[in-house]
Amino acid sequence: MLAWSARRLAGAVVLVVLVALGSALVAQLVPGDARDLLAEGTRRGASARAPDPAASPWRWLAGAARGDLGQSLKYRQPVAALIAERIPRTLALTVSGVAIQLLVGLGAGLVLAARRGKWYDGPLSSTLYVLDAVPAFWLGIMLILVFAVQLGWLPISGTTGDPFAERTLFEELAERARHLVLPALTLGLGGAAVIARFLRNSLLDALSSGFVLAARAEGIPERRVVLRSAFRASLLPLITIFGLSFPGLLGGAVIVERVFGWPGIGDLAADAVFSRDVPVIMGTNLMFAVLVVAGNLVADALYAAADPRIRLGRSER
Amino acid sequence: MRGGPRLIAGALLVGILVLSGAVGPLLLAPAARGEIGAQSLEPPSRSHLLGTDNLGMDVLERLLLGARTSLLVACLAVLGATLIGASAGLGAGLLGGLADTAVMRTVDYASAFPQVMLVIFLSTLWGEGSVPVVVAIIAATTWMSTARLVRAEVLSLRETELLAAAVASGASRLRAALAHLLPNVMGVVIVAATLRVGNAILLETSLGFLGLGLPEETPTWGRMILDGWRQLRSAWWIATFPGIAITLATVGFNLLGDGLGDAQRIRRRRG
Repeated sequence: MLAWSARRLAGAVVLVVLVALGSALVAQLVPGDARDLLAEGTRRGASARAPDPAASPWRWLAGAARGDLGQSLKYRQPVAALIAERIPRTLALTVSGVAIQLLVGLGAGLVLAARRGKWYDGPLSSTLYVLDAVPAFWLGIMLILVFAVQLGWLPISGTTGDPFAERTLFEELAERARHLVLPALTLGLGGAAVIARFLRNSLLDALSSGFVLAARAEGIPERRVVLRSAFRASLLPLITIFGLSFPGLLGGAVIVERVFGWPGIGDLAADAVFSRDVPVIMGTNLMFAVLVVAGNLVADALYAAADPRIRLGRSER
Repeated sequence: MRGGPRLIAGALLVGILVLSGAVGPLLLAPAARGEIGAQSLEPPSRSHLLGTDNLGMDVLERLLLGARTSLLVACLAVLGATLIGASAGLGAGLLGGLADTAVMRTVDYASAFPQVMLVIFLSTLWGEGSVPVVVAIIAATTWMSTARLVRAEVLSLRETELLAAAVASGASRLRAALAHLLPNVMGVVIVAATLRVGNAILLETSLGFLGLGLPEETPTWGRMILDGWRQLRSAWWIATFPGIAITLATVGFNLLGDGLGDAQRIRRRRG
């Protein structure tokens, strides 16, 4: 178990370093105007010793290792500070998105498999098929249109209400939760459709297999057969799907943050593209790589928890 | 090849979209065409079925013109990604050893990264794009799954008599691979490519929505949604209809891909 963890962790670190190196090298190719801007920023004394990514990828990498990602051209602040300020918001959004993805996805998948052939099987399955194809940014806009503009139930954008209003801690939390609902739904629903469709199919496969027949023959109640025997068999591929969905989820966060004016690192990155703020682009890029790798590690750990063969190091083929 | 319901529905949907993109703009009555500065932000009416946008342009006309761009970019991007991915996978599977490791590590590395971030990163490099640039960006970020798929297929076919027989009868390994392996891999590749078109449409429109991608004057679905998002309180129709178009197009290509896959499985089972 320890050797397995160490190997996974080492691989993750190597991947992050490679991404960092890759983005530093690619930043060298940024067209001239951006580099002029960068040079100008340095000349104006924004930061004399800020690593200039266009000048030396190695210096930037060395700086990044110390937690120094250089100076933003637009904000005239250290990139690391900009990211640190925004990362809790991105994490809050992504974690709630994952929660919705799992809750809705697992719920719908289980219902569809357990109640197969009911009248709602067809319509619900078709809805999931279409939901998978809906672009997240448009889904977000439509949710805003219905729940914020038309019905006025939820706020249009931002992370919290009027900053000058007096609120108790509880009211503040409620206000933040209200602001989180639509962005989290936008981010999670697409992935939920993928998980639900997959779970339905794999549960239906499992339900027609021998071990489920045996469980039924023993007189185990149907609910337990579905939840214990069949669900267990679908668990491993489900974790794989979940792990694979992680990069897409973070990519989705970029767009969702844009739509809902949610000041996280995705919004920072998209904004940096317009102002050609190369240090910020490289810094956020690195941050995304770290988040993806961390997500993959979580998926790996879940995998090991679910499958003793991996935990005991007998997975080598 | 007999098609299932998914194949038929998908082919119909994609056919209608391609057709309306191709001839739709020509069929619009001159009166239905928008005029810059004429009647901006008109709700859907008999003269403008889907309303007009903030510049007074007809949303239906922009939508039909956008179908051309979005479908063209998506299909070309998938073609590019398939060519890159198939050659990489074919090379890795046939050569094995170091080449295999190098290709597959690159694939792992590239697919561990959020596609949207890669696309954003690349568009910074190339600036505001023309069609070839956007196609290249999307192809460069989506070839990995095809490489994985083709490599797996090649590995499973490499050890069969198929290749050995060709080599034994005097063909070079390269010739044997191209003439005998490739046709066997084609089926899965076509199915996978069809399924990727929807994803490419989503990427292209996301890029347009972020204001990257194609220049502002080019009518694209993503750009229309960006415009509509800015006018959401006063004109719901601008953002709503392009999104429906994107969803229909993506569903169409997904159905077509799934349908082709079904048909292939049936044919294989029959032998």
